[in-house]
Amino acid sequence: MLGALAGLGSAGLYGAGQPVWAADAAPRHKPIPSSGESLPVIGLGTWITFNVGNDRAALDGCTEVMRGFFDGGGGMIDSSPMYASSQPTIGHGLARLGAAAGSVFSADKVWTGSGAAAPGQIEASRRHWGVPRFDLLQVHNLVAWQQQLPQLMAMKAAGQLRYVGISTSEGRRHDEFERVMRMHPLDFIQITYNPLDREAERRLLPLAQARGMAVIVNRPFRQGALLQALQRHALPGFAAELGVDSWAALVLKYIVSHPAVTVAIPATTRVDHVRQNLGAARGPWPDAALRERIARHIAAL
Amino acid sequence: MSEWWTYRLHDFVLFAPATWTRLFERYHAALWPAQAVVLALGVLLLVCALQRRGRALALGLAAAGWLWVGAVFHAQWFTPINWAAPALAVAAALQAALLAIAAASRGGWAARGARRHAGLLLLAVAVVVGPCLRLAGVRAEVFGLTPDATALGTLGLLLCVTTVRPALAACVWPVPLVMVLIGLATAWALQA
Repeated sequence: MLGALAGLGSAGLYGAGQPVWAADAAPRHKPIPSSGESLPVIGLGTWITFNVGNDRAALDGCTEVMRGFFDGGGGMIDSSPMYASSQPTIGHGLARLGAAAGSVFSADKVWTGSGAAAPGQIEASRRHWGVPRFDLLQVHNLVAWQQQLPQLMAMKAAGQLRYVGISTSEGRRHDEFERVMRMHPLDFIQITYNPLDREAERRLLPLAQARGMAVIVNRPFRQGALLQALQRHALPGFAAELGVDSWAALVLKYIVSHPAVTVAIPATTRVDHVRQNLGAARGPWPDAALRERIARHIAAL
Repeated sequence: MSEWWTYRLHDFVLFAPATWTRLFERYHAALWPAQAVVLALGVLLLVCALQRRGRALALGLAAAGWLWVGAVFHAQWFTPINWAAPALAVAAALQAALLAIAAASRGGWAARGARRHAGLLLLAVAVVVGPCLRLAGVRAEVFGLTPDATALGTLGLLLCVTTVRPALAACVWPVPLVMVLIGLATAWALQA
């Protein structure tokens, strides 16, 4: 049942392309299909949680979350110009952490209906982060993707950007999303996926696999609502088999163990939660049968 | 925005409840002891309304409150966590201008009755009860310093006064009404 019986050499239980659990408990990585570069499977989202303005205490709190994230082997941080002060908050943390944040994989978005406004917005975002260039830029919610994607592709060709992607959330515009995936050689897509929001399993996730696109999963906990609901219930017995002691880690293991998913980006303001989230990148992973059991169990609660 | 019907109220709130609460706490700490001065001015405004005298002074005080809320609260404090705040600052400045024009225009006080009583009640809550609670250490909004109390108190004042020019009399209502609705929606979304 358990993929992590990987310690017994049962790599076949994972299916092709699935990583094998390392006995040294190093966080799992998955490859970006278009380059082969590997990424830690747990990232850090910044929607709402990092929008703290110029509140010094809250900025320091976010910096500690980032410190815990990097200390635990995290890599990708994702943000957007739509998230108000989240970008400057990331920049504050990166500057304070210095070399400790050297493993950051900077993922941001372009969010404007004007193609002409995009370069200025991207440059403003870059300055907020304080990075020489972004690793990944995504067209946020497909806003003006017809204008933005060619610009991002040109930036990538010019070496000003490493990867290009598109994003959506909560199942919006999946038809158009799928069309863009079929038309353009994207490196990444970002979608909502969790044990209750499984629509992506039907078309988008298989298509991402077929097209060689990395998948970022947002809203793994439905902005906290899923975990709030689950906290009222005891963890199922099979959670112990997976080496998890929290609903958060169980949900994240469900998500990132999908063969098409590259990284999940839960957001939090708490260091203990970021450590708990990163725990999902370690230890046994569920195989397809156990993944289905997890989803059915949670849906039935 | 496509598929707008799929968005819920809380999708438009960009910050966490704790961030919103701390914004007010930090704002009031930075302004201290301005709350006491504002309370004194609020009592003066309420006395004007109770005695049906000093209409221009009362509307002028309300205009000053809107100017402060727009220029300081929205533009300087709220903007870092809400990219829509600059638009709220502009709306507040517009309301300040309209109230200043109303203060300089001919008008009087509403006749005694339900409208006036409702206005006085709203005004008293906004300009006296809120500041007193804040001075006592309770989390409460303050007329002239924070948006919801300023909008609520203004609605109360507008119920108490009359303005001769019908167009002007109509123009002073929308901004505070919308601001109260935004405040209620924000509170609802943050508690959801």
